[in-house]
Amino acid sequence: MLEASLELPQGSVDDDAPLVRAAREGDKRAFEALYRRHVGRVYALCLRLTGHVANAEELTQDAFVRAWTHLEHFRGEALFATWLYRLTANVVIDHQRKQRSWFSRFSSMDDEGFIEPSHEIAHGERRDLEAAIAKLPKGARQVFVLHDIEGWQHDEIAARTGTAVGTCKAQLHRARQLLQGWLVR
Amino acid sequence: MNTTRTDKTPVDELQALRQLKADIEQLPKAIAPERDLWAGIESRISRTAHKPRNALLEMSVAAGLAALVSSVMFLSFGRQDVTAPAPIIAYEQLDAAYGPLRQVSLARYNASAAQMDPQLRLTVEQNLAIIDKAMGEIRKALKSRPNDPALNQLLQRTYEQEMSVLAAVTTSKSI
Repeated sequence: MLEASLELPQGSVDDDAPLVRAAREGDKRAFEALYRRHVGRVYALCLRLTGHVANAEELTQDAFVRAWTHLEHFRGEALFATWLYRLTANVVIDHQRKQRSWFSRFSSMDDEGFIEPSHEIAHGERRDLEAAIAKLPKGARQVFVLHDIEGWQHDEIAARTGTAVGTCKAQLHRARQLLQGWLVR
Repeated sequence: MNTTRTDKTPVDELQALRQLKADIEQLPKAIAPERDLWAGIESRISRTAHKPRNALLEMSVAAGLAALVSSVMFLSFGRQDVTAPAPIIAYEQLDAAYGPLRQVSLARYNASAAQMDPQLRLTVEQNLAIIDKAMGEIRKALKSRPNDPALNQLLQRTYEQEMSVLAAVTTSKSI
């Protein structure tokens, strides 16, 4: 894992505006600058939602490609970063929903029984929680990441994932219980 | 990492929750990917920027789906005597015949999906989801009327529709 400092997007929020305008005109260099600025947050979101490095890389690329093709829909009413991270979450949720739907045709495994092929998050400083998040069942992980890390509300998560608010709350409770059990020191 | 759950008092629970929230606060907002992903993105957006949407294919899929959905709705209102010039194949035979073919077609589609125009991919997958839903409705009806020739024929047509969509998108030169 690279140790680049990506705690926050480089440059101020206002710096995005001219880059976004240029990218909307088809300037790929401007879009690359936006990519460089935001890839860390986008990738972190994909990695935490999927718990899988290869999937996270592919979905990060999907998110930026979708951002490029949908830039015309970005009206500037919200921050570009907010729009991009929301779009990224939608890309991952759509992917996971399709995967579940298609796998279910050929397999009797349900969401909770499905274990990702690998959990490749590296161990190290502060990595115990990352590894534990990756180990969560898919539904619980999705709600935990969106609610407790990304700050979404339950009704937003429910609407986007097509589940009931009560189910989201139950999934969050389950996720926290599992994490607390795993992270006992 | 300890995976064993222990009985906790409410105070313990609260403390554990606070600790978890503190751990979450410590998580980095961003994680750098292990490799630079820009080259793949640039390659895809370059194709996207200069490629018109495959409108003909989308219209073809949409027209087919409209006919399919109309058929399902028509049957769901009780009509069972749809003219069936082709010989009727029981749905168990259809499943056996199309199952392996579907798996191959879906695998081929999944392999090429990443290279598709994102808008076209979205359209195709939305349409495949509609076909999937239609197939589910037909199967539901077949549970109560397994020997209904119209339903069996409709299932066959739905299979054919899905195959033709998958074949069209995996062989289209503009993808």
